[in-house]
Amino acid sequence: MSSPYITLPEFKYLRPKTLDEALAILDRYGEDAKIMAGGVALLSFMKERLIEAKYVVDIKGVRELHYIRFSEGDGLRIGATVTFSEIEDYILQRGLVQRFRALYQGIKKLSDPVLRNRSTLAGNVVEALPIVDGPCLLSVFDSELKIVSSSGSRVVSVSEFISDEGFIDLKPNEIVVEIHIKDPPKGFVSTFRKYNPVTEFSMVSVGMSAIREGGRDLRDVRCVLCAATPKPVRLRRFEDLVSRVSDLRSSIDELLSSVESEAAGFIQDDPYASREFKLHIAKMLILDSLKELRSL
Amino acid sequence: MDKPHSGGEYRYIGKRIPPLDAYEKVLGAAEYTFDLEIPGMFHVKLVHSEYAHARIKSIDYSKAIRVPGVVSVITGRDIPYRVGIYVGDRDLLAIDKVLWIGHPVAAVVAENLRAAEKAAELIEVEYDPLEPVFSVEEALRENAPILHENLDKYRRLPAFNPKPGTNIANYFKLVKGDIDKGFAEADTIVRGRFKLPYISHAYMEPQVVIAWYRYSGDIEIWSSAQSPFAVRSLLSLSLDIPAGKIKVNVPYIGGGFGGKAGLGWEALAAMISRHVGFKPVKLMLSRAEQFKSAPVVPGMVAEAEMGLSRDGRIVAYRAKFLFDSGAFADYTVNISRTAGYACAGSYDIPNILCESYAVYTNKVPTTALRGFGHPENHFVLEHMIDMAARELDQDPVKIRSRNLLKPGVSTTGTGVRLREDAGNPQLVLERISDLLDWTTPEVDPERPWVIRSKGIALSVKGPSQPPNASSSAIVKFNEDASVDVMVGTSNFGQGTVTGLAMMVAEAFGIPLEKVHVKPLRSTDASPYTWQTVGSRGLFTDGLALLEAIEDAKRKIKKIASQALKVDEDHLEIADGKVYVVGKPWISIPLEKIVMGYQFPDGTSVGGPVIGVGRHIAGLTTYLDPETGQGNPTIFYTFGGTGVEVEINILTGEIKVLKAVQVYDIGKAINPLLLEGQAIGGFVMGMSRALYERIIFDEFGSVANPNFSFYYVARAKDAPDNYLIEFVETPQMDGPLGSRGVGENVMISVPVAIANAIYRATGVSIKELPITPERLVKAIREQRPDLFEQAFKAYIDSMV
Ligand SMILES: Cc1cc2nc3c(=O)[nH]c(=O)nc-3n(C[C@H](O)[C@H](O)[C@H](O)COP(=O)(O)OP(=O)(O)OC[C@H]3O[C@@H](n4cnc5c(N)ncnc54)[C@H](O)[C@@H]3O)c2cc1C
Repeated sequence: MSSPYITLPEFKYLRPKTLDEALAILDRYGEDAKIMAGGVALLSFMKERLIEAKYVVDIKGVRELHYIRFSEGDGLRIGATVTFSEIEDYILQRGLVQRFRALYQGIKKLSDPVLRNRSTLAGNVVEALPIVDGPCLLSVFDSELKIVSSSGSRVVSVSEFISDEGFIDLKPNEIVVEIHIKDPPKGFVSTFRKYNPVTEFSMVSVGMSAIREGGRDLRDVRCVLCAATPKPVRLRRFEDLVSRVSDLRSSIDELLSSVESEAAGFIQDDPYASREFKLHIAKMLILDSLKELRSL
Repeated sequence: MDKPHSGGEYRYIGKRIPPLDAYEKVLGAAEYTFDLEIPGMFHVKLVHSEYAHARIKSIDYSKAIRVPGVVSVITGRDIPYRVGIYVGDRDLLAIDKVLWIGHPVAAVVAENLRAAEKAAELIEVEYDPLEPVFSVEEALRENAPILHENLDKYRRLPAFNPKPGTNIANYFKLVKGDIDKGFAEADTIVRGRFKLPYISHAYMEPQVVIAWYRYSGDIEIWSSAQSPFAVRSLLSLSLDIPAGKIKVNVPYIGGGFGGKAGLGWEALAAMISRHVGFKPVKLMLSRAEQFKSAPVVPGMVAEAEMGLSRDGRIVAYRAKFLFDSGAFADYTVNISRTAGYACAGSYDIPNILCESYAVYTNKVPTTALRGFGHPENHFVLEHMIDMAARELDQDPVKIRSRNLLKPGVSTTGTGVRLREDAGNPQLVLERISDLLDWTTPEVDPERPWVIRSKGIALSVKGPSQPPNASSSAIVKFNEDASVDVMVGTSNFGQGTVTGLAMMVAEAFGIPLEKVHVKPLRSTDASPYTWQTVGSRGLFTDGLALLEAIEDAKRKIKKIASQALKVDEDHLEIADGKVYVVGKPWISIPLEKIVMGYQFPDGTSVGGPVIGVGRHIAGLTTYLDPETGQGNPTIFYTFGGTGVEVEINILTGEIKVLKAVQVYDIGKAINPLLLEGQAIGGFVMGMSRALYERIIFDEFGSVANPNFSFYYVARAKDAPDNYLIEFVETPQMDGPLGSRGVGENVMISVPVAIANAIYRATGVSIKELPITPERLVKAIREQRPDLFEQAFKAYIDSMV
């Protein structure tokens, strides 16, 4: 993320008032038009000449995309222009912190309030770079994106939306209109760990959820490894193992070696940390998450 | 300075007064060079080399020139000048050969910046690659590719010693006593190899300049530069233009930290202005360009050896510093020299041999940063002392105390007897150790894998300036008896000008609101000062100002003496009035004097009052070329840092809990701003200790030219607890007894943190930054037992 440029390239700024209007603009200009939500990613990439846009379509004026709702059994539904700060406030005010704990923790750790006041969860998920937290947070839950175009709408899960290589399933004429985070089952606990003492962004993150039924043992564990991987990765063998563990102490070695064998293939060296160190931190974050979920 | 008439207490000096420019800055109203526009001004965009070392075969700008709005494209051959402050090794644009990835090879000039940026992409440069060198070790090897074949032809100041035919831009040697004898006498010897990375100044305003070369041959510059007079004299020298034809203006500056000292892009912009038909041009860097093309801070590798007697006296110290200057060593030659002559820090060491090199490599060029060789040599020295203390099983505070320089008694590394009034290093050490609660063991945390520890380090620093560096100041009275204070020293956050204004208000007993120091510095309108660097501003320009105050007072008294018919000797000035000594009820307000006095019958005497003062370094000398002996500096400020840190053995995270800063500044003129410096310096030093590094890829290109990946400490990283204290041992010839401190406040911070880690764990880290990965690796290598224990304790806590 660096640019010799000081200027933005020239573009036309459009501010539709309805979703139909926005979709019509996309139909008309195709690849030349780009949706802007908070603009945090879009404008920086345009400044770096990494994204070209002749038309910037600011959807913040589309009222029908600005909502956040919760209902028992259905979960959270978040419109495309809702900012992280708005989600944070909503969760807190509606007393949903325990229910969506990992999401809430993740938003709290997402950069700073200035950035959270501006950027949207939808924009973050569409950006989909390994270093952003949105896809990881959504993967801790059962979450879906609702995507529309002038010819209809479809629903995809977050893991389908982002390919294994990190590319997104979105056509130039489509808009993500809603993020649906399904209401978690009874006994559901979750947590999110982010390790970023070296750069602005996360080096390794771990999201974990489980069902607790009395006692400290965890069932139906879900463990998502992020940031060090091209997309959020579920460590399924580890999940299986840990969901069956009865004596944690004697299983630690086995658990860690399953993490190692499952995660190792995804993690690469980069200029900021070696593969070995990232793997080490991944293990520490996983242990830490386990510890927390067991003590909640 | 006389204390004011009423009460005998200072009214301003020693008071916590906020910086005069705070409101303008906080409100966003302050104007920086970045904000300035001149009607009809052109914009310049640089084109950067993509090779670390190559000959330029051709530059094709036929496409670029056709972009609408583009006026011209300029290459190095059009303006084949060499510039620099200490060694004139810099070109304005690469001439025939590029020396690093990011080296400007051409400049596009256009009516607007967007056109210039667009055209810059279209310039095609063909290169003939040469073998590059990326490390000092490679660059020093025999048969290494040479960056500067004409090193001997460059203009340089006599203090510097390049080795033509090699990549050595400067070699300095400090010899004191007999090093072999010293080591022969030692009971214990400790050794270490140290490494510091390239870093960025990370100032907020990237470099920016507007230049207007006029038909008359006069040049006017507006620049984000620390030292307008240095810019002027270097422009004059390197472009062969009389100094009087050049005017350099410096409005508010968005930070500098040494990185905007000397000469920046002014010569390039001026020559471009001439080239495009005497039009004003503006060149501003993006943050990425600031990392890749503008001077950053040199890296260093060092080797050191320290010999001690059984009782903890340092008997011999040998160090070798290799500064990685990058492609130009213009300013870094003096960093290497300074690191060499000041290598013995605050200690009285009889036998010293310190060698210091500045070495060219094919990387982005480097320049000064706050501390100037001292953070580097202190990182080595102050950690070696802790290593020695452990080796001898002695307390790090006691071993320091035993070896400290004694003012009036000891001779420094450069062989001068330390002046009697140089400060009280023993007291500084004592205060740090008390404030830090040094001897109380760290509390046992609930999480045994997290260790708490305390560390200390001392520092000493004086300005590294030419022996004849000088300053001047003017106090000019206005009709309302307010004062315009005119100084050359610039204000980019240090607060010097607030201190100077306080001195003027105090001297005349007038309200601070009636003392005006304008933000703009200009070589036309401001009196001369050599540079604003080296913590010298309040000292040198302050002394010049005190002389100007005395001059104005003399002139005021002369007028008042005629008005009151009292001998000048019987008058004094306070509370905005001139009084008769012993009869304070006889007085005249300054308003009636400072434009000349008018008698009741209409006749008048005197005239507008302007006081003039100056300062020159005086007794500092060149250093002996063979031994480095001599008197390099006008003051030494002693000080140091104590830290308490929390170290997570398993994740390598380090949190600084407490910061102790103690400095003997002679006299605290404004304690509030001093604390600001001490806190800012601490955070900057901590950031350097834990986070900051420019990363180069295998081709020598900066991999992290932005603040997302070049991490600088954020507010959340800073400690919550600061204990800051100033010792006041007056320096007799300092302004009100004070000494400079702007740089010193960060020098000992990184090594204090390294020492804290070492104290609790015995793990010695000799390379910055102390990243979590580096720390965990070092712990696992040096103390595997500690790591295993921590891990076991962690697992126990889980079940
Ligand atoms: C200093 C800094 C620190 C940061 N720290 C973090 C961090 O800690 N964690 C983190 O997760 N992120 C971080 N980010 C990234 C930031 O959070 C994301 O860039 C931001 O969330 C993107 O959201 P936005 O609303 O601004 O999206 P925009 O920039 O408006 O859009 C992003 C992309 O999505 C497309 N788009 C947006 N909305 C839609 C839609 N509804 N339908 C279809 N396409 C759409 C746009 O065309 C664009 O391509 C940081 C960024 C910066 C600059």
